[in-house]
Amino acid sequence: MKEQTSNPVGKSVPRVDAFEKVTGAAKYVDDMAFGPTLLYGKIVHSPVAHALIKKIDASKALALPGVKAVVTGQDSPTLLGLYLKDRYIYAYDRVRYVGESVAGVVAISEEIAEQAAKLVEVEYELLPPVFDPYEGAKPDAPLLHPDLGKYEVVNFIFPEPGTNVSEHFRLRKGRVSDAGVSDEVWAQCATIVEDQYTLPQIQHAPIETHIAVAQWNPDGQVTLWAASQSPFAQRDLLAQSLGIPHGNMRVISPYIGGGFGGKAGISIEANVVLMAKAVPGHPVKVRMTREEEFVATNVRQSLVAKYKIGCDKDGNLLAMDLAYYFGGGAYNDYGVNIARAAGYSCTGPYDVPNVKGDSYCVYTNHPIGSAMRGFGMPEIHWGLEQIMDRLAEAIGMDAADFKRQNCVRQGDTILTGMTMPNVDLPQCIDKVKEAIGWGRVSKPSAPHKRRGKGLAIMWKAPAMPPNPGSSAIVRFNEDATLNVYVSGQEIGQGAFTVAAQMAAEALGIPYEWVRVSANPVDTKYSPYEWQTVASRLTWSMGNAVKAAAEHARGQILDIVAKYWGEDPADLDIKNGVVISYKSEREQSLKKMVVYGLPNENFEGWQGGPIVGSGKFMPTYVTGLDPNTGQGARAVVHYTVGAQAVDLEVDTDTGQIEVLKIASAYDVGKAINPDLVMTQIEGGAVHGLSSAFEGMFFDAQGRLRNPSFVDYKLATSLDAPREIHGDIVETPLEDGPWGARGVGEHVMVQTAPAIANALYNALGVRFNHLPLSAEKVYLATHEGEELTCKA
Amino acid sequence: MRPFDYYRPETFEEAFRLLTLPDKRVMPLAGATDLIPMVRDEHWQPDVVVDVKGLPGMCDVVEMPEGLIVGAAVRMVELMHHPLVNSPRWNLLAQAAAAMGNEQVRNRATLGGNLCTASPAADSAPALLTLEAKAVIRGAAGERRVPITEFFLGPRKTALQKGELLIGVLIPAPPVGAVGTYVKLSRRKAGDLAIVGVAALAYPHDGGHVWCLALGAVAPTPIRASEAEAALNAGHDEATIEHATKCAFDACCPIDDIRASAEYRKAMVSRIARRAIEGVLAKLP
Repeated sequence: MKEQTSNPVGKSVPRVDAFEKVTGAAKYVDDMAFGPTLLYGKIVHSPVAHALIKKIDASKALALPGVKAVVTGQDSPTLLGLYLKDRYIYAYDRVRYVGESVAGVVAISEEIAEQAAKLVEVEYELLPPVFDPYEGAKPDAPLLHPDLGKYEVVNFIFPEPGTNVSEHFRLRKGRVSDAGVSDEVWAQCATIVEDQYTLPQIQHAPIETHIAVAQWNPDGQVTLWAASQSPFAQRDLLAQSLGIPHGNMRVISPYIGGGFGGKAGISIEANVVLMAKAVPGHPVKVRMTREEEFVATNVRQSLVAKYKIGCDKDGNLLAMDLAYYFGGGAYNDYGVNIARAAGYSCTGPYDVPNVKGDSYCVYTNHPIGSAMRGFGMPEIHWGLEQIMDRLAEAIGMDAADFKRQNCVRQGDTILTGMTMPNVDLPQCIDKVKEAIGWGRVSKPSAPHKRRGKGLAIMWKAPAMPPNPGSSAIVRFNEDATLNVYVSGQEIGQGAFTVAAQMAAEALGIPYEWVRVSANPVDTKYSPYEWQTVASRLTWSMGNAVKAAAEHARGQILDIVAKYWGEDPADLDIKNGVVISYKSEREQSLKKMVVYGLPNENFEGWQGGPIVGSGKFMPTYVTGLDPNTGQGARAVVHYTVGAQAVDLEVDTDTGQIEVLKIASAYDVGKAINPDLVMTQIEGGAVHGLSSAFEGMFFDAQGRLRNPSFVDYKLATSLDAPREIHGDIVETPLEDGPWGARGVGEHVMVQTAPAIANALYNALGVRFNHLPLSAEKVYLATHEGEELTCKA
Repeated sequence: MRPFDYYRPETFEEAFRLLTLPDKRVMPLAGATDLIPMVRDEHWQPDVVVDVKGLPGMCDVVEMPEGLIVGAAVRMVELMHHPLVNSPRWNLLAQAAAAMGNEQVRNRATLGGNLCTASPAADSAPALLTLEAKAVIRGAAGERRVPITEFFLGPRKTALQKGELLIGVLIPAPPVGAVGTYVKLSRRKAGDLAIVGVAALAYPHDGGHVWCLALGAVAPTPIRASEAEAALNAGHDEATIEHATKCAFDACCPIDDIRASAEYRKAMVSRIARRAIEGVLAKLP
């Protein structure tokens, strides 16, 4: 305890988990030992994209020595899901994607389980597949979920039974009808851009693949150890689906090796719990191979987006007609809310008087589209942010000026009718313009190379139910060190560190005195947290931690005030010592926070062990009109930001080298500026990576690149040489110390910023992700004799 | 993954006995960067795996009067840093080794493995083709040397007979003054397979230069572009270079795969060949 950092909020203190992780001491699920009774599970995946299951014969698998059980959909014909209960744990009567769980095999070793999985014989009757979300949304498309109308669904999601549309969000603002924006409005536009942009599914690719261990005891106590962003949500979903009392369902989640949204909600965990049910008392372990991770867990949804956007001659946006078709994959239990989020934020960060937006989540026979960093926003900004540049160019305006002129400002009535909370997007734009040298033309490094700069802005609100809650507990030890209990998951973003900073700040103790007791998060002992998603922890969990610390502080001040015979209002805690501004007396927190304080002459005692608790839940989000998307408050708040890219293109090969990415985000208050910067850096690389890779399927719906040989993530060598970050701080009304989240936002607009820079360099537009050297080459050498070189 | 028996013999006699075990599927193993993924996915199902790293000379780099002998189990990272390989004569091989895989892969992958996998995209192959290396093959019956041009028969097919091992590569010293360049085009800067790989080498001869040019990833095997070489031997003014790159283009017959289309590969052959040629020209005195 050498360092004594007082008032750590706003300071770049070191991460609480740094040493543990760097030295390899940190424990993950696969490091945990379960003793000699441990069994191993393997999932049998569907080899076909869409088919009825005629028969499952597990007799050969069961006959293999070492095999303990085989479970199928017949063992649990109940539905599971976060917002829309649309999937069986194991396929029940049909399969809807290549990779779907059809059966689970439990054996005494991983090898035997794998061998037995191949012996499970499944007879399929093929059905016509649907792969394209736009085609899939048509009324005559083959139906994937004939029972859609019977599924249980939350009251803010609107499936369209009899179609493949699992969610349809309608936004109507200004002079629009279901047919579109009024012709009179279009007539006022000096220029209109109408175009389609698409992007494929992509994979989260966490270094740690999905892994879970489950044990179902004969007395009905069920425990799940999982690499999870959502231990409490998983407990709730499993309890509901399997009829387990919540108190008997325990989820334990240690550190996780990367989440990015892929470990939010529920994936293979339910499959493992059902395997465990078949072998009572035995823990059963399942870990996904990399190839399984690609197809059989979660991926980001694909998107087909149709835009028609117009502005007047002065560059004022007048109208947007938007249709977003999200390729939700086979099950949309989580994905429906991505389409909803894209619906209520469909304009991007722009103030537009007339908006018709329709956002659809569409079932397709591809892997399950679910939460991923950005949650719908990277998808819709891909086209939006390019079209803004095209409009600006058409009316002869600088793209950055165009965006600055039209962007949302605090106090604006935004598309849903909500008043825009405090943010400063123009300042973000100004910052990145300065950092990238906007308007200055840089010289390419070789004659066959071209330089280009591009800029894109973004917004994103936490996409959640209206009332996701957080809670926290603080507990003192004898030496006045403090344990903070939270259930937000440390997925690399620094959640534990900011929790410690906030607790120390609110209590008045040094940062180094705080220990975060959240590894593992254990639903049996840890306070409730909805999920580690939506960039909500710093804000929501932070408010709970602050409340818990203040609760404890109040108890301490009361005890000392009584002990001194003073008014608590005259006391404060500074650097772990209670002080009186009135009498100038001092009382160390050591010992007293557990043993209390003795009265004079030891005639009795004051106080006792200090435990503080706190909670936070937004209470002000309202419902939206299902026909217009209008309501008083659609979301809790928005985080906004801007990014600019400087790149160089090799015109001989089409190779793109991103030289610099400059970012500026309005985070309200940087609780830990270094951690904000690491988000900005990681987001820029993640965003860049997402611009250059995608999942490619064959005509039967089989993934062609389910490995890191063929699916190339950007590595440190591909990262820009320079990543610049600016932090803007416009305080959020209900954020702890004004803070709002920034975890996802940092990658939302990287791909369109790159595309805009490519246009600047080459004069060519790219509407379809991923970008590649080949695409750039073919687009810039169209019609040329292949060998000729000027 | 199907289980297999693992042996690490220390004599060739023992190795050949294992490699010819009756009724067994036997596979040699060096760096295992190809073997383990193939076995894990059950594309290969060996009963027995014979680790060749313990055999005499397999991990050695030795200069002999006839040239450099590189043991088949010498790792890419060793090629990159070995003083002999890095000497002006064989530096092209060091360049190719450095272009292969990423740091982690190069720490395990071996030259012999890279060749025996016989991927058209093997990074070491174009370099060895231009250096006119010979594969040193040993079997129970003795040793034979096969020009590297005859070693590759097709994707994943080599001149190795059952029971034979590639024990090394003999690389003659190119004539004095030879300089070489390997240029690789891939989607990412590291850890990726070549879309196109071109090795070029030239040395002074009779007042002019003799050129060697080899192409990777654009045909069923790595190939020499002999017409391009002939063109360059006549001189290397701009028109000749242009003609040579056209010859390289004509020599290739690439396929579509997940990394690139045949169309893009064809277009890139002439460009990457030009870069390799220009790289050599920049180094020529």
